[in-house]
Amino acid sequence: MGKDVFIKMDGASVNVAHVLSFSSEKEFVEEYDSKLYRSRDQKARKALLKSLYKLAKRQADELSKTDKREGDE
Amino acid sequence: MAELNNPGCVLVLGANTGVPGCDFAPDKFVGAILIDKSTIIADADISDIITKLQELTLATGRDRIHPIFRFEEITDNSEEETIATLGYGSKQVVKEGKYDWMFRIVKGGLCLNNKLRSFNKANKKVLFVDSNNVIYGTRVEGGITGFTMDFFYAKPFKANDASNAAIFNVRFALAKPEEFNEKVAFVKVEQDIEEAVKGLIDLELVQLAVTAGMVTVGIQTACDKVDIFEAFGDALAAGELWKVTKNGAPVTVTSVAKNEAAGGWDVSFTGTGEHVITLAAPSVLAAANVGGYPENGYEAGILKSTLS
Repeated sequence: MGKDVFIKMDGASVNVAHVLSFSSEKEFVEEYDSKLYRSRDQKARKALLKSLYKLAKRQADELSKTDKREGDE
Repeated sequence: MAELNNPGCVLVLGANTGVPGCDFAPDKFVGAILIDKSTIIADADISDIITKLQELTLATGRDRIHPIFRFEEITDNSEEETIATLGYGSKQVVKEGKYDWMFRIVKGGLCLNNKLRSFNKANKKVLFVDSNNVIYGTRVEGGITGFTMDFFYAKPFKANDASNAAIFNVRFALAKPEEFNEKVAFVKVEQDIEEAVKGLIDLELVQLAVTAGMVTVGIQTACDKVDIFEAFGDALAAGELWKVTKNGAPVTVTSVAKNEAAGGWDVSFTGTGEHVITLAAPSVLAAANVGGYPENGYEAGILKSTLS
């Protein structure tokens, strides 16, 4: 997976590789609570950060499947 | 093929002089496009020359072309041919006069004039555009290129004298009259070239705030200081459109978020010390709908931020 793949959601964009460097969703949410979606209330912000984390995981899985398929060809 | 003792004379037959049904002559020149002396617009690109020119306005380095429009007046400083009168009274054309045109530009003001003055010592070629949307260049093998110039000169502005507004003039001294005559190449397009092929606008990045691992960046146009946050707030909240380096080495951008309160973007990355922040190349920005046809493209300057 390329390290500069970004996912974008609601006016924010995160580096997928960076998101995956966190050992858990909780750790990611804690770190980014003060960096992203700062205009939202905390409940909405946490929900968005969780979605972002899940999206990054899904994106990484898809990219690794694509890489594997291309490797098999 | 080179040949011993052949001075290169050819039998001069002249040419047929039947009058064509459709007269063609250049109309008023309304603009010019500065191009690199190595640039050739290939024959294959002629049918869609506007797309090619648009692509080249967004190119990097010497491939980029620089359109200049809104010529509203011409002063023709072209030379007449030089004729020698010989001892017995006969006359001979010794050399042709060269084209030397000066155009008054009415849009862009001092800022554009200063940008144009940075080309005064550049070794460029030039395409001209007339008011009928015809692009003029010169024929070379495989395509067309610009006219060779002795010089391009954007003059220092002339002050407003209470009768006339400030005057901005650009001057093109062409080196080879035959390029605009026997070797001319022209393409008529069905589009307003001035509207279709626009030069880049410089952007200035401004540091709005800095905290550990994050810089809040505002962006405005460099000349007239128009804040672009309203127009591109969402589009530029994209990590792939930002570049961060430290001592010339790339630094991974970890996130970019629109910051409504500050009117800028929070750019996060890991590191301390001085970092250089900028945006991606104009073509990448245009692909992300930040500038590009039908609007001007954008090119960002750099912001130096020191993080502790």
